[in-house]
Amino acid sequence: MISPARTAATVRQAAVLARTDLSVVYTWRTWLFGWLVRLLTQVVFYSMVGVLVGDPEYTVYVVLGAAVLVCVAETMLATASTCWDKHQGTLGLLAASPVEPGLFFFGRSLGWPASTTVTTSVALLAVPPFFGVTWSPWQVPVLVGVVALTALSSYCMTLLLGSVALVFSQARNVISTIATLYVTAFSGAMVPLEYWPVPIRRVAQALPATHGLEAVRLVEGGGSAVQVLASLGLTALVGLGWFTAAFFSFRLVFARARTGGGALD
Amino acid sequence: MSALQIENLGRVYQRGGGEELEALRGVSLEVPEGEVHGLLGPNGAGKTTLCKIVSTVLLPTSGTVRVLGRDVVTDTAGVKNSLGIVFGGDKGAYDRLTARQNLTFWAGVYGLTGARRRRRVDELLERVGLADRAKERVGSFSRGMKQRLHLARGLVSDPGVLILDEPTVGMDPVAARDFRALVGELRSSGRTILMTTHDMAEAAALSDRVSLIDQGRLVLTESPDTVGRLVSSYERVDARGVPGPLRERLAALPGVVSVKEVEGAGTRVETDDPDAALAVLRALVDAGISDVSRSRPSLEEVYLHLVGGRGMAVDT
Amino acid sequence: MRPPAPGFGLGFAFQTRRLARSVDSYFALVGAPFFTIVFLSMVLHSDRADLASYTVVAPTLMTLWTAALMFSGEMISEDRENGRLEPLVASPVSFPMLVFGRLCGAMLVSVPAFGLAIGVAGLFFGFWVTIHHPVVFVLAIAATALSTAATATALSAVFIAAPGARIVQNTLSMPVFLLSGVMVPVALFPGWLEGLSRVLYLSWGADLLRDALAPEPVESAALRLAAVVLLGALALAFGSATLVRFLRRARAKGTLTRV
Repeated sequence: MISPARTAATVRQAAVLARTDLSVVYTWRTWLFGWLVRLLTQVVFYSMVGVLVGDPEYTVYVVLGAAVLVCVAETMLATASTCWDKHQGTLGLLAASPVEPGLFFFGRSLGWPASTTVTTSVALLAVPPFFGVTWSPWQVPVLVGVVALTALSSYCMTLLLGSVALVFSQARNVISTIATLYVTAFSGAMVPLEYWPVPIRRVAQALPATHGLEAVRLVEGGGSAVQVLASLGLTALVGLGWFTAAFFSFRLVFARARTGGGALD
Repeated sequence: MSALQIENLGRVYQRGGGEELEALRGVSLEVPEGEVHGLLGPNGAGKTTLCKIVSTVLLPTSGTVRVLGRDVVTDTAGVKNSLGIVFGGDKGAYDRLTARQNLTFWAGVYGLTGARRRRRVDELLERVGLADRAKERVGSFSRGMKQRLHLARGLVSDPGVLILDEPTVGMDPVAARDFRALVGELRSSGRTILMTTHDMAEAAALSDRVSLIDQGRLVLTESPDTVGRLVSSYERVDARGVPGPLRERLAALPGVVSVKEVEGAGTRVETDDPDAALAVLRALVDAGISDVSRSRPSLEEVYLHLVGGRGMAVDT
Repeated sequence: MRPPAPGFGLGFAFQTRRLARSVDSYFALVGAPFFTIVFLSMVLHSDRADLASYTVVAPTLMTLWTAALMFSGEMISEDRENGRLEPLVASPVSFPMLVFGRLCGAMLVSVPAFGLAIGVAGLFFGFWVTIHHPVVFVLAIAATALSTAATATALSAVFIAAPGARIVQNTLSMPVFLLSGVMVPVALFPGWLEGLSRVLYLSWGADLLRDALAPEPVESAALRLAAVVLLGALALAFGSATLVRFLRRARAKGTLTRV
């Protein structure tokens, strides 16, 4: 059993790496004019398909979906950053240390959900007004809260992919691309879930973005507080499920490496 | 109690196509507390595999390893907390963090917190001579500096046993000398150190005892002095213009191991008995040959002789 | 003056052989089926089956551009890091042509991308694309691929001459997809934005490919093809000049092998 104090300490220590990585990967200029602009154009790109088909109501549907997908795209970077330890040669040292790998990796890439809470909030608050959505002031903090939870929950899903990418690190970018595009297509972001056959709808229930997006749509469409909270509860629950899976998957990867299958260095 | 108790250790790797690679075969070794033990062998001899098993990142396929009485398989957590590891080479540090941030991170991983952690990090930075570079990113460090940081990281939990796996590999001679001086200082702290190297001089200079490992087997374990004596018993005599019949007579002398033609040196006579070289010299002078030189082989040459005359860089 | 042909041919042949083993080409390819699914579900959900052909053109062009960004970012710097740049520059072939040839080879990835898009549309949605103007279509895709390789040559020249520019490599995907109208024709944009888009060869290529799939006759096909090729040629000229200048400077300063 890992004590809560030790858990918090491990996550905090690993988060130092996340913060440093973030400050090395971006300067505020490249973050603002490079990364944020790229993400905003992505939202506009998908929303324009709504304009193309000529349905303003559907355009609103797409712009909200595309904005929430920013969450998925950015937290997916954790797949790659989980592998950074492999390239740095620190993975073997971690395996030899008493650290709990799942907790370490949770802290290690926390920079992405933090950054994406900002980018997705900007995308969600700034782009939809150009496509006919108006936000009232009270909706702003609610939306930011929904985004933060969705980001964290999506991040937990990415952690599991990251543990897989540790084993197949050549394929890390392919893994994250496929996952991002799968969520783009099948989470109710671009077309309602009812459009898809039942098995795809079932899988969608396991995706954090599905429930986070549902909460956003409820906030926009005037859903009740209970409905919003129910969606948020599902977002959190699904995230917790992914985290648990990732936690044990990391243990498995380390244990497998110890038997000589799949080197960590 | 022995700090390190290795009994009949074996490790087999499964390669593709059902092929098996035996990296370690029946290795037994006991290292008492406070000893600096040099593990000497060519690349691919099994040194790193042994280190990985001792440091709990690889499981043995047979045999047992105990670190300060704790079994690496059944008490992994206990072993992890009493062991420090330092791997050679460029990697193993977070390049984007400063030296201090790196050490603080690892100190945290080993459960140190608050003021105790700060003190420990300061002390280690001082000890490895990086205190004035502590705020610089490790990415800008030279290989020697990185290696000193690695040593500090290995010591962060104040471990009873320290594993140094090829710690000076790829370092320039000056940096390697400085690093050895650091390890020399550690001897006085009473820590048990297991150090692998393929540099015989390094092993002899730092170790209380030296083990030779080759093809996964422990060839011998001796004090550096004994290894030194082993070295000194070998001698060679080079001579030019030695006629055929004389060569045959030399080869028949007691203590002569070999007589062969060496390009640039003429005839080379190798002996493994201190008196034999003298007899060879006398025979040569008696035959009127004056272009003669006598020398001792290097540590490496003896080492190569012991492990069967194969090259130093054997691929795994 | 070095003859351009051997460099181009060598580069093309080299990259073609490498294509199947390159992680980059798979990376560029995985998007194609998913984007087809996303776009096609969007237009079919909106009862706009008439736009279905758009949804196979867009993923093909997106794959081309993604591959261009990936290969142009890595190609020369990989050569440099592995110590291949010096012997290549010392050889008698034209280095810019070698790079252009390699990038043209890399553009062959558009063929399986188009196949994947068509296959996904047909098998999953029962929508089989008809190419109403096959000649225009083949010419348009060839011209677009050539111009993409040319533009990638220019990008790779910029990336090697100014490594700081690598930072924008990852951010250049979506803005270009949007501005060049790979999915949504730039004619739907406000006038000033459409004007800007017309500078991008890809906007001409995208329009032409969509028209080639439609039953209506393609208007002024030759002129539009010429626009694609011309914009590509300009990019190639710029890229070659930048590369030659970079190599000359690196040779003078002795920085050719610096990592």
